[in-house]
Amino acid sequence: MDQTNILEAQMLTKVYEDGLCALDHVSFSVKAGEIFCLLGDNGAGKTTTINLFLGFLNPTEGVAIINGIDVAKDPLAAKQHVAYLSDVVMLYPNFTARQNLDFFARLGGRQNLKRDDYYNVLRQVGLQEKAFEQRLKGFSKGMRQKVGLAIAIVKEAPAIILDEPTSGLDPKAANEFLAILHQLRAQGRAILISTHDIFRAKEISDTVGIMSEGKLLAMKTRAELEHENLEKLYLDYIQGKVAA
Amino acid sequence: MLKILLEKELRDIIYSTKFAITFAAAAVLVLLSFYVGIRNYHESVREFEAAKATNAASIAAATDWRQVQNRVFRKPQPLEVLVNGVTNDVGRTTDMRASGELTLINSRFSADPLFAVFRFLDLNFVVIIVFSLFAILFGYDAINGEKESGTLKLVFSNKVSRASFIMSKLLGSVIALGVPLLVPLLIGCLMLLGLGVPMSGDEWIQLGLLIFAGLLSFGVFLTLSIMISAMVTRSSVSFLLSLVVWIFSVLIVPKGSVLLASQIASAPSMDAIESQKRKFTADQMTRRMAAMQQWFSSRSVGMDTSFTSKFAAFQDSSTKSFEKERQEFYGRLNEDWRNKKDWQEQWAFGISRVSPTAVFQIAAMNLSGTDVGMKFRYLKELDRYQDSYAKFIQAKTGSTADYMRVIIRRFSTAQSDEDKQKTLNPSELPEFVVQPRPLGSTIAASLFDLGLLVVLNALFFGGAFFAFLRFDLR
Amino acid sequence: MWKTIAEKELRDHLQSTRFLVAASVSTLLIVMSIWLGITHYKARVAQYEQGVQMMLDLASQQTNWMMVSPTAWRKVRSEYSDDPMLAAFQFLDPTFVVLIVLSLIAILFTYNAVNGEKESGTLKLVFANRVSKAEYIVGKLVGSWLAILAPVLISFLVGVLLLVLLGVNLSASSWGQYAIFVLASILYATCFMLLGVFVSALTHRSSVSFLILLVVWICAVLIVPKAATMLAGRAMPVPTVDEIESKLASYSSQTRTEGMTAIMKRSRELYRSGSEMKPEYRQKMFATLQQEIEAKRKEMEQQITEYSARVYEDYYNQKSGQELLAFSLAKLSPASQFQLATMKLSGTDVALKKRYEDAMKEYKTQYSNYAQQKGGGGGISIRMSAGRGTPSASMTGPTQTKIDVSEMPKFKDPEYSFGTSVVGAFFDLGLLMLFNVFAFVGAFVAFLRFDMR
Repeated sequence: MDQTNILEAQMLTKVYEDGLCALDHVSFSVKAGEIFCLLGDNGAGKTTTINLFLGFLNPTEGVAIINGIDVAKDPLAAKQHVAYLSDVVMLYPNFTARQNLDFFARLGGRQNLKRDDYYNVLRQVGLQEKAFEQRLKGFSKGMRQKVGLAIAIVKEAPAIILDEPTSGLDPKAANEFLAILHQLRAQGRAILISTHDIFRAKEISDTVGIMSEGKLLAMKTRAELEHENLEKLYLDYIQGKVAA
Repeated sequence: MLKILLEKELRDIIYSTKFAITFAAAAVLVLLSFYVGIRNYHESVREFEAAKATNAASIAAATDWRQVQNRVFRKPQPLEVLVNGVTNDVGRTTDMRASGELTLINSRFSADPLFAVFRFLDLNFVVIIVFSLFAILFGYDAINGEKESGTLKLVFSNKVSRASFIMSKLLGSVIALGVPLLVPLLIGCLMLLGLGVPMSGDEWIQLGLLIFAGLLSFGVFLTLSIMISAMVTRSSVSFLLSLVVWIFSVLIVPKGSVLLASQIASAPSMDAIESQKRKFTADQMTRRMAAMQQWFSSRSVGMDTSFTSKFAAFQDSSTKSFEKERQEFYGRLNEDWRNKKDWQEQWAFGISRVSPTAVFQIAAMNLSGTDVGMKFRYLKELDRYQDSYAKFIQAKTGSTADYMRVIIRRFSTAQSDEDKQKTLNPSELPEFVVQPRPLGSTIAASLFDLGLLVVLNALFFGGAFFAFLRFDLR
Repeated sequence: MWKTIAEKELRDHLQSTRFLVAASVSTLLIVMSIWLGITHYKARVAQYEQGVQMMLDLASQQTNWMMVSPTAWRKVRSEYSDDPMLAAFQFLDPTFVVLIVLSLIAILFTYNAVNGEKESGTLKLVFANRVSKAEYIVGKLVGSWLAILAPVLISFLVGVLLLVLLGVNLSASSWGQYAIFVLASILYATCFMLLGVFVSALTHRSSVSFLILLVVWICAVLIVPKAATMLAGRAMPVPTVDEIESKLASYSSQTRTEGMTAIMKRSRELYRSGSEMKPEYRQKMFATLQQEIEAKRKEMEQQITEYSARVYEDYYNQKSGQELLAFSLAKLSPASQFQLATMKLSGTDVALKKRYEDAMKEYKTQYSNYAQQKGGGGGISIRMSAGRGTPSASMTGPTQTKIDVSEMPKFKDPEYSFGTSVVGAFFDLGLLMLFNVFAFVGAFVAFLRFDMR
């Protein structure tokens, strides 16, 4: 087992009780300091993959490994090493940004953070100072996303999984978001992103995996994508014009 | 345009899970309340007949009208079972005497405290609790829910006026919810017909008005919650508000108003009145005794045949005069008390009318004849009957005296033993028939509350309308 | 870890508008109901004292004990029957507020406890950490429980304050009952809270779980108790009081008529034979006749009393059977468990009437013994002596001395000790506890099986 592979999927397969094959022998790995993008339309199996990594589902076949720990075998230990940002980031509307962060930081095992530590993280993700102690009730989607990202950062886990992080963000917010991702990559985190946003996927990923109907059809590195039209490639794969 | 919106509203409501669940619950409860009510009615009629029969049998077993302890029973009315009102709290049995004050004893709840614990499930209860909840569940997010789901903006990106939108919303909700509710209610009416509950034409009209009042009170809560929904931007808040309004108007205001009224307008307790009456009676008794003593001492009577009749005649006249005196005194006392009580009730009901639930309940009780006045109306009927009963007893026994009966009997049995072989025929007794309250006065009594319900409907309808015209669509 | 979650849960509740509104409404209502209870209690006590005083005044006016009809205040007469206005809307007491409002609030707090977190995405966020499901649900339940506890405890503490400030003297055992009442309220609210979490862990949409809970609430609080008693009434019919009474009346009139006939027959016989006797024998014969009649009458009364005792015992047995069935059925709902427990606790349960009737019966014998001894004879008596020569009628009337009411035996309220009340309530509270355990296990298991995706 390659120790630099922080996140690793080996022949991951998930067949639901109703016979639906949501994931079909998917294998990939994300090294430290790498951003891996799962690209695919709705129902391609991106969220299922993430659910398997977080132990919300048990794989029918194959294993999901975080930092060398098989998630299915020891989900709690594995989750010690991963931070997560969900696609729906409503968070706790009655809590302030800091209170939300505080709660999740303590869940993530960081018990003794001070108020200033939280403020630093919130500053880092670019939330306005005045929003730190405001309830999330009045926050826009972009602001909530920032708090969500702060929650993922504050855990200081080697792996970060982001589910559709840029959907619904305006370009400015999305760009800020990507800048932070770059920072995290520079810190040596392994980052797994699911998205259907082709342009940003190309912009930030080290590797892009194209998924359709539960299959990982192709994996392209940044160098390979340099000269290709990802959009065309994506559509071709999905429509089955290119064999996997 | 209105038609399209209206159609959408109807579809939106009728195809929702919320509607399926709540409507099923409401329908089951309505039918259950009718069924239980009908069974209860038959049961009480059976009890009533049985009690009457035993009473008749005990009369038939007696040989002298003076021995008879006649009892009169309150006949169950069909509408009582749909709106219990106070009917289970008021006594059903009266010991009929030719003189003296009549009282009602053995109310259903005092005879069966078991039922008093949880009380009964009647239509009135279902309307008050379930219908109003049903209305709120559909009204609370009628406007702000559409805003939250974004459909409001979508709708208004078209050529739609606010007036037509809110109009269709209100009408659509009322139709989509009100018409289905009518179905179990009508089935209930059919059950009344099918399960053999005898109802007069007047009673059918009253029942019709009752159902109408039920729908009106449903409408009040529906328009009220839609109004709240148009005044508050978040549906969670409007839900909370509606629920608080519900708790207050269904549970708190009616009870609170009664307690408040007894603080504002005090009436002497029943015990105080009772005590006064007892004092009077005791006093009368003393005077009567004295008179009797005088009568005895005024003549050195012998045990001749004329003694009995003379004694009876004396007793009779003294009973009559004392009874008249008692009636006057009691009447004055009762009337005075009744006036104070009336005043208190007016306060109580006046305050409680803040809540539409109470308005409905007052109307419903009036329509079904189970309102607070029922006891006094019934007592009046009893008083009327007492007169004819006294006449009858007078004719039969030559005396209406009550407590001296035993003595007389000892004399009479001693004298005529052939007499006691003849048993009595209970059918000779004048029959106690309660005149049904005329439809006109029933309706007149409930007209104010019905009108109030209509006004409240209109008020909240208008409120919702204008609140929406000012609603922030952003 | 569960502590962190419990803390978050509690804080989440405390900071919500929902909590603010619900807690203030429930506090207001509980405090108001306790206050109303106190005023009403005071009014009733005043009325009671007034009643007793009036009765005594009245009695002291009288010259003969036979003229006095003491009324044992409280009586079997119901307040509702005197005052139908109260019956129209019934009463507002703390039990009612807890029964309706607290349960509704418990549901309101927890209907989206689990599926709401799923809807807002926080469930996944939480479980992306090293948190086990068991830890999470325990923390969640503890936090929600504390949030519900807060308004309950506050309002009952204010209630204590009111009781003290308004000078209602409660005995130590009454305070004990109060404490148990608070405990019962908490148990009851907990039950609905657990039920709320349970249902919210069974369904994935909070709107659905709310609807289900509302239906459950309506059934548990409003339908089951009523339906249970009505069902029991149908399953085990008990003769009505009217039937019993007319049965008794016809029996006693029959016995009396028979007895009277026998007496009459005997006295006529003796009279006929006596007319030929010498006066001194006749006198003696009349004396024996008198004795015979007296004996016969006693026997008759005895018979009637025995018969009525038998009939009533039978009646009460049937009734308690019916009650048992009704309450067993009703206890399917935590609302009835709570209500029955509190009624037993405060001594206002169904047996209240029976207890008072028994006490009254006892008092009646006591009193009539006393009156007998004081005034002799039953009722006004007119003694007839129909001798041959000088028939005369005389009447014993009232003597003219006023009577002393202080000698009169006092009616004592039936004993209803703290012990009895607690023991009575204990079973229902135990049942409520059991229900809590079930709901807890239900919520726990349902959450362990909850699909977090």
